[in-house]
Amino acid sequence: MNTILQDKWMIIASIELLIILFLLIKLRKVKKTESLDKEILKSKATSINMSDIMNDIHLAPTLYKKLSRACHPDRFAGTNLEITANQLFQEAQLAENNYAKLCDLKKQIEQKLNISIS
Amino acid sequence: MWNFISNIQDWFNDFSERRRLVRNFNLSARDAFVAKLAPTLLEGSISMGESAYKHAFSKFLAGGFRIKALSGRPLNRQEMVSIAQVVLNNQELVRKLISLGWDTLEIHDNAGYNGVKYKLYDHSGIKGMIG
Repeated sequence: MNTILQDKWMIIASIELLIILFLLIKLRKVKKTESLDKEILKSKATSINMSDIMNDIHLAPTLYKKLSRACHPDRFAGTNLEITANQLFQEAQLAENNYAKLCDLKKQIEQKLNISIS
Repeated sequence: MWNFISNIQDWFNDFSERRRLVRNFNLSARDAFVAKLAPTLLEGSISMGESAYKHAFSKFLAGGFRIKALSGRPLNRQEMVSIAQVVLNNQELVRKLISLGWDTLEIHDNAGYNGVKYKLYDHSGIKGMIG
């Protein structure tokens, strides 16, 4: 009789242990999701200026073409400005789709390379 | 119970935020077109998206952010790619789109039959968190 009761208690105890393990695993997953949620919430809170995006879509390609022609390193080959032109050309390539950055670069190019871009 | 209510509240918040983002995009596109800054009118909308591009936060049957160019002629691939590149190079925007449940960026015109599709997750800079 005693052994049967002991067996029953063993079974109940092992089921309880399994439930506790399951809950612990679930809690760990929830914690991971919470940290991920914070990241996601940060991204949700960022405000995007759509006018800038429209400028990037429509105005950036034309300005990039102008700037890449104006400061192309081949135009300054063998002069003192070759390294500067090369650097500015690379910066322009990196900011190909960013109209605001290209506008800043335009000013820099005009100042550093002594040229006017219409 | 509270968790369930909170989930429902989040769903409605996300829904309104998604609508607001699309609406802002369309308003800016319209303004740019009216001011003659843009040669083509762009229109953003929510589509079903590509099932292969889904991630953990994808919205069911609404994971596609579609940009339609009202160009009046079929756009070539380069033109569509250049529009997509602007969106994909803006990591803040891509992350916001992902967090609001979008997984696919679709670009197409109103005249042709071709378009381009991109998996947003690949351009988000997120590594090992979702997917």
